[in-house]
Amino acid sequence: MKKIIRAKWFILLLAFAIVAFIGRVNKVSSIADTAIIIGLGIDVKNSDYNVSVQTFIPKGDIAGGGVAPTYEVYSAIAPTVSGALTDIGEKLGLVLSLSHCHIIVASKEALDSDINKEVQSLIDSWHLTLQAVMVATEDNPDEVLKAKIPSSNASTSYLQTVLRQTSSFSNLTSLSVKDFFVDSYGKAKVSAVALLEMEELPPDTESNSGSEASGSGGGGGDSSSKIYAFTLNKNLIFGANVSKSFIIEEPYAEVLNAFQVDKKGGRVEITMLDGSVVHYQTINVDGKLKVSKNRVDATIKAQFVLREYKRKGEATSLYRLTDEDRKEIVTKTEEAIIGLLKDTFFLSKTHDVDFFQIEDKMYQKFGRHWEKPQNFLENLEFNANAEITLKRG
Amino acid sequence: MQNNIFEKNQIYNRQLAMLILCTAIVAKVTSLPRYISNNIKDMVFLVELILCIVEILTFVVIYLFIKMDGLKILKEKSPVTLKFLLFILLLALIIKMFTAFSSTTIFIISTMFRSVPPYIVIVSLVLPVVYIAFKGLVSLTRSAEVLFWIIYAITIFNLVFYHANMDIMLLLPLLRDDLSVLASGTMSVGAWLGDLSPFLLISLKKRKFPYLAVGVPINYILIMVLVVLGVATFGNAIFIVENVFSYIPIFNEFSLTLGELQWLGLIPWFFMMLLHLSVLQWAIFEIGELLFKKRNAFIIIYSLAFLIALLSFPTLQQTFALATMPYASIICWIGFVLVPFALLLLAIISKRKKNADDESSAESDEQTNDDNGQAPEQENKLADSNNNQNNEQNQPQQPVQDQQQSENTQKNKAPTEQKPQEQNQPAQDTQQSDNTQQNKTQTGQKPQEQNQPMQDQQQSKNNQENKAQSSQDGERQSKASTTDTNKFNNSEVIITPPPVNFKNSLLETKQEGENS
Repeated sequence: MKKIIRAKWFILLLAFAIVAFIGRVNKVSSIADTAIIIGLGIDVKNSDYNVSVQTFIPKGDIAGGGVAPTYEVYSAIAPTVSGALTDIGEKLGLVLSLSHCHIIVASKEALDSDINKEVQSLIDSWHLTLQAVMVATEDNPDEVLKAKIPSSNASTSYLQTVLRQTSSFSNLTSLSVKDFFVDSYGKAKVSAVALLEMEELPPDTESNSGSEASGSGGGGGDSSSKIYAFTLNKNLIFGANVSKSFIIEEPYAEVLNAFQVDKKGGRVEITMLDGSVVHYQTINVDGKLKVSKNRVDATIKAQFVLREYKRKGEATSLYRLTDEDRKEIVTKTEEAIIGLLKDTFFLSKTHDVDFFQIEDKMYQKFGRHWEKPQNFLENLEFNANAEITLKRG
Repeated sequence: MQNNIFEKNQIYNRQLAMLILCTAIVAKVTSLPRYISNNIKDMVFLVELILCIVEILTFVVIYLFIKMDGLKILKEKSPVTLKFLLFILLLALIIKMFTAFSSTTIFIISTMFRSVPPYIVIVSLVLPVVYIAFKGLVSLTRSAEVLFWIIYAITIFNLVFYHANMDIMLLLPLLRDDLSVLASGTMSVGAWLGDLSPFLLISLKKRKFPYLAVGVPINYILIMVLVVLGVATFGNAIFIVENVFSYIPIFNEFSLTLGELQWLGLIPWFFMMLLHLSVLQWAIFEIGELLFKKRNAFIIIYSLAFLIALLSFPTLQQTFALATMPYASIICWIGFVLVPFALLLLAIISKRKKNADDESSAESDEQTNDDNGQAPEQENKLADSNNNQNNEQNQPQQPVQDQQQSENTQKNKAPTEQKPQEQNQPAQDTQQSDNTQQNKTQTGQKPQEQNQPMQDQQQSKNNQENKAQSSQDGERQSKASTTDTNKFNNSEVIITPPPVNFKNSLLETKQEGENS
C-alpha cells in the first residue's frame, strides 16, 4: 500500500484525476459569453433601482487583428441592483462581470437611499472591485454613461483616468468603494463624493465628428450625436446621518478634500481676500484635525510651487518677486485658507452634518465612553490654521 | 515502532522556523478579522494581539517541551496521562481543522469557483491535504523550504508596493466595549489558536543560528502588520474583506497599469493554506498513531469520517458555525493552551522523579560499597565525576540521549548490585577489561557530525551503551584498585577521549538499518 502511494505515477494519476474531475463538472464560461462591465449607473425611480451598465464588447475581425472596441449601455429596473443586473444579463444572453468595473455613477436619489447594502451585495455577489470609484450626478446616470466626451471613447474611461490618477488631479475627490465603506461604518457616517456635471459642447466642436465606433449605443437616441464636457469640482455630501444629500461648492470641496487623503501633485488656484489670484503647483497638501473636549484645531499644511500671481487683476512676473513679496503671498494664502476652513465648518454647522468627521476623531481620542453631546457642532469651538511653504519651481 | 515516531519527526530548527513562517500566518488573517469584526465589536487589533501573545507564550512552552524530549519522557513515565492530554489536543485539532477547512473552502468558492458545487472543492482539497499529511513531516518541511522563498518574495513585493488610503487612527480606541465582552469574545476564537501546537510532536535538532528565536517573532510581527494594515485601510468595514492577506495586493502601486493584482495574494495564500491544513492533518494522524497504535487504519478511518462530515452538512457556513460554537472554542483553548502547559509540567515532574530515582539508586550503591569496606568514597566520586563529564559533553548536543541514557542506567543497576561478588572473581575482571577494550573501539567510532539525523540516533545509542558500560567498569576498577594497582590502570578507559571514525559508524548504521 505504502509503495503504491509513494509511486510517482500514482501522484501524477491522482493530480490528473482531480484536474479532470474539476474540469468535467465545472462549467467554465467562455470570454465570448461574458459581458465585461466597465461602468455602472444607479438611479432610483419609484423606490426601484434603475441600473445601467456600460459594457465593453470586442467586435470585428479578430483573426485579422482589426478589433474595434464598442461600448454599449444597457438598462433595467428592479427592486434591487442585483436583480436589475440579472435582468440585463438575461436580456443580453451574456454573463455579466463586474470585476473590471471601476466607475459607479449614482444619482442623488440613489445615494439618499440604502445604497450601502446594495454596493455590499455587488462586492459579495458580483465581484465588484473595492478600488472602484464612486461619482454622484444630478443627471440621469444612464445619460452619463452614454455621453460622448472629446478626449475618450467612453465616459467611464475618462472618469477612471481622472479620478484614479490622483497625482495629476489632486484637487478632485476620489471616493473609492472601500473609502465609502470606511465612512459608512464610522461614527459620523458621512461621505463626500465628486459631483459630475455635464455640459453640452457646441455642435461645431472639432471632436464632435468622432468615429461611430467610439459612440455609445443601446438606444442612446439624441445623446449619441452630442459631445459633452464633464466637470467634477463640486462635492456631494451624503450618508446615513444626512437626511438629504447636498452640494458644496468647489473651494470648500477642495478644503474638505485635504482632510480625506494626503494629496500629492496637481494644481490649485486660490483667490485671496484682497482679490488677488495665485496659481500653485501642489507638492503636498495635508489636513489634520486635533480635537480636545469642546474644541477642534484644523490645520492645513501645504507645500506649493508658485506658478502664477495676479495682483489685483494684473499679472506679475515671478522673476521680479522679492523675498518680501513671496512672504506676503504666503501670508495672504494662509489667510485665505483659514477663511475657507472657517467657511467650510460654518457650512457643516448650517447643515448639521459633520463632514469633517470630527465625531470619529473624538471617539478615537476619548474612547468608548465618549458620547456625542446635544448640538455637537453648534457648541464646538473651531480653530483654523494654515502653514504654507513655498518651494522653488 | 514507537521510537520511530520520535525519529521520523526529527527536524532542524531552521526547517521548523520555515514551516512556522509558512503555516502559522494564514489562519489569523484569513477569516478571523471578519469573524472578530462581526462578533466582538470591531476589536480586531486587540483580539489579534492577545491571540498572538498567547501563541508566543505557548510556543515557549512547546519549545521547552520538545527541547527536553518531553513526549518520550511522558511515554515512559506517565503514558496514561499523556494519552488523556493528547486526546484533548486531538479534539482541539479536529475542531481547528474543521474551522480552517470550512473557512478556506468558503473563501475559495466565493473568490475563484463560484459556479463549482462545494463538494468538488472539498474533495479536491481533502485529497492533497491528506496525502501530504500522510507523507509525513519531512515532506512537509521540504515543501515549506521550497515554497518559503516563493511565498515571501511575493508577500514582500505586495507589502513594499502597498498603496491605499489608510488612517492608522482607525485602530483607536483599542477597547471598544467592556472587558467582559473582550474576554468572552477572545474565548470564542479558540479555533484560531494552536497554529504551533502540532509541533509538540516533533523532536528538534539544532543549528547554531537561532532560527526559531528569529522566525517565530517575525511570524507574529507579520500577522500584526497585516492586521494593522487591514484595520487602517478598512476601519470598521473590515468585515467586507474575506481574507486580508489576499486583499493587500489589490491596493498596489502598479494596479493602475497592471490591473487588479489579487492573484499575487492568492498564490502565496494558497500555498500557505495547503501547508497549514496539512500540518494540522499530520498532527491529527500522529496523535492518532500514539493513541491507537495503528497509523494506517486511523488515517483511513479518520480521513473518510472527516470527508463524510464535511459533505454531510448542507452548507459550509453551517460547518463553520458548528466548529466555532462556544463549547468547541473552550475545548480549543484547553487543548491549545492548557494541554501544552500540562504536558511540560508533567514532563518536568517526571524527569525530576527519574533523576531522584537515579540518585537514590546511586546512594544505595554507595551504601552497599561502604558496608563492604572496599570502595573508598573518593575513588567513587572520581568515577562519578568522569561519568558526569561524559554526560555533560553529550547533553547539549543530544537531548534525546539523556532519556536513552537514563534507560540504560536503570538497566545497568542490576549488574552494579553484583559488585561485591565480582570483586572476588578476578577472571570476571579480565573479561571486563576485554569489554572495555570493545568499548574503546566502539567509542572510537562516535560520529561527531550532526547533519545525519538517523546516524545521530544510532550514535547516541552507541554512546549510551558505552557510557553505561564504562561507568560500570570504572566503578568496578576503582574498587579493584584498593587491592590491585594494575587493575586500577584499566580505569583510564573512561577518561581517554576517543578518536573520531565517522565512516565506520555510518557504514554500521546503514548495515544495521538494512538488517533491521
